Amino acid sequence: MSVGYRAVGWNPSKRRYDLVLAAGVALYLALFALVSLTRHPDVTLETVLIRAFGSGALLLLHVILSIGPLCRLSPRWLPLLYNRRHLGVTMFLLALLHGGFALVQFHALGDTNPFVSVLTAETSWGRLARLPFQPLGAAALLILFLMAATSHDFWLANLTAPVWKSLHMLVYVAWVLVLLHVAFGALQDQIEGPLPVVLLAGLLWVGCLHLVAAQAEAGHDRERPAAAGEGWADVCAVDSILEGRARTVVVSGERIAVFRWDGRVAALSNVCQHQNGPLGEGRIVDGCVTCPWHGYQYRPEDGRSPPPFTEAVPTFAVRVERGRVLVATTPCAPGTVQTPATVPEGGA
Amino acid sequence: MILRLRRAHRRATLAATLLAGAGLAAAVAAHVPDAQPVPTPAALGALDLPALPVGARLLGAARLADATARLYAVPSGPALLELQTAESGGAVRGMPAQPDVLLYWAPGATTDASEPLAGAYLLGAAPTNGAPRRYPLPGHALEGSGRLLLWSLGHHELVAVGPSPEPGAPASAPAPAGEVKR
Repeated sequence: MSVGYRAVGWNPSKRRYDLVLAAGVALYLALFALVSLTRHPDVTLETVLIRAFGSGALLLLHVILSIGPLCRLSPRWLPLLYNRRHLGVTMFLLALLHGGFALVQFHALGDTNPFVSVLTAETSWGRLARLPFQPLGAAALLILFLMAATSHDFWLANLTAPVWKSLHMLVYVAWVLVLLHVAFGALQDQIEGPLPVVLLAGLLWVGCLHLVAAQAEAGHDRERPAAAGEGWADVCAVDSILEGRARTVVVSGERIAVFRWDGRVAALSNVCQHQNGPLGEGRIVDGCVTCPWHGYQYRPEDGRSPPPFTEAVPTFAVRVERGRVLVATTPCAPGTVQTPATVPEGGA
Repeated sequence: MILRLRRAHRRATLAATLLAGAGLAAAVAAHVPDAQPVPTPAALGALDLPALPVGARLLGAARLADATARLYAVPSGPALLELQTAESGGAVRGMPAQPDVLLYWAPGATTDASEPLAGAYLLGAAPTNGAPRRYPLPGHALEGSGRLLLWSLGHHELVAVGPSPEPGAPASAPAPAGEVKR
């Protein structure tokens, strides 16, 4: 949990993650260069680098876009989510190298400023076959820069999670721009190679994966608990909650995580204050609800992070009656103390 | 709040997928196949023939600005085009020697001003030092009329255009000079 600015809060997991990432990127670039030079011995080194960095960034972008829905479908992918921002920054650096080499290769030797040349060298906006593809790539790079520059808890805390999330949702705009950049650029020269198939496969993979994950989520959100008197909802049987874990329920249109531990039951908002991670998929560790995404912790009694951290989530009043868990339909302010309900001896 | 954000996320994903799919389909549908394969740098090097092959026969000549273009038939191989500037040190009249001027052959007699290189076949770099340079022509170059184009790679503009020599046009009385574009 961040309370100030540190470039990267290193820990052994992050080091392992970044080591695997760096090795993977290096291996991809080396393999790409090897295959390129074997298949096209006349190609220049600059061209190989431009293609290797560009294709590497495109591949990594698809990996990044796949992690979210994969984690919604199965928790086994959560380790990938843990440092997804490092993947994003790495992808931006690859895209920047691709753009930088292309700028020097194709625009630096003219009598026009290279940055102006990127935007003005192609002018056939009215002709689909010759649609200027470089400004599309430049626009995508600008978005990726904004995202990479704010990929830090410092900016997350200062911009607030909703603003930060909205900003980072621009990744879909960048994705479309990148695909159009490739479709109206490299694809026009390689229409008979594997590139069209690879692009289409990537598009279908990301699109379908999001669709399947959204269907699963939407089905869960449609569940409606039974009313249990004025201001209360009967959300589940107390025995259906595993010890130290939670059940996520939807009350008044918002998700609530109902935790059970040490014979007690408490209810918190399901939304982690860090990156809106699903607290209900976490567990109780050292008496605290622990977010499965990045390990942010909250006390179940009052929804506050243990000192010195200052995050807090809304809490809900909770009762256990005849083996059923009843949750108040109106949340309390973040950090409000709510006495946990006691589970009778022998469970229900 | 989170449900609203999730809905926005779903809509953004759906819109992005549809937009990218439509763009990809449009790019594939709009693709214009190359009329001729583009020679590789290695192939371009091979075009720089130091001398006419044995048995080469002059078929005709034409003017391209102040340069002379000659057409040769070669017993075993493609027809050759030879381009020679009038003076050493200049590629085209009124222009300093430029290393970036490329020579193209294109079928037909007219040039589309908006797409001057449409359907054109890259022959190679234009001569810059007065020495003649020879280029193999595509097989169909002798089947009809064609034109020669000098294209500045650096400035992305047409430098000169003129008719390609045709069989029967005497070398001693070359056809009218082509047009110098700048």
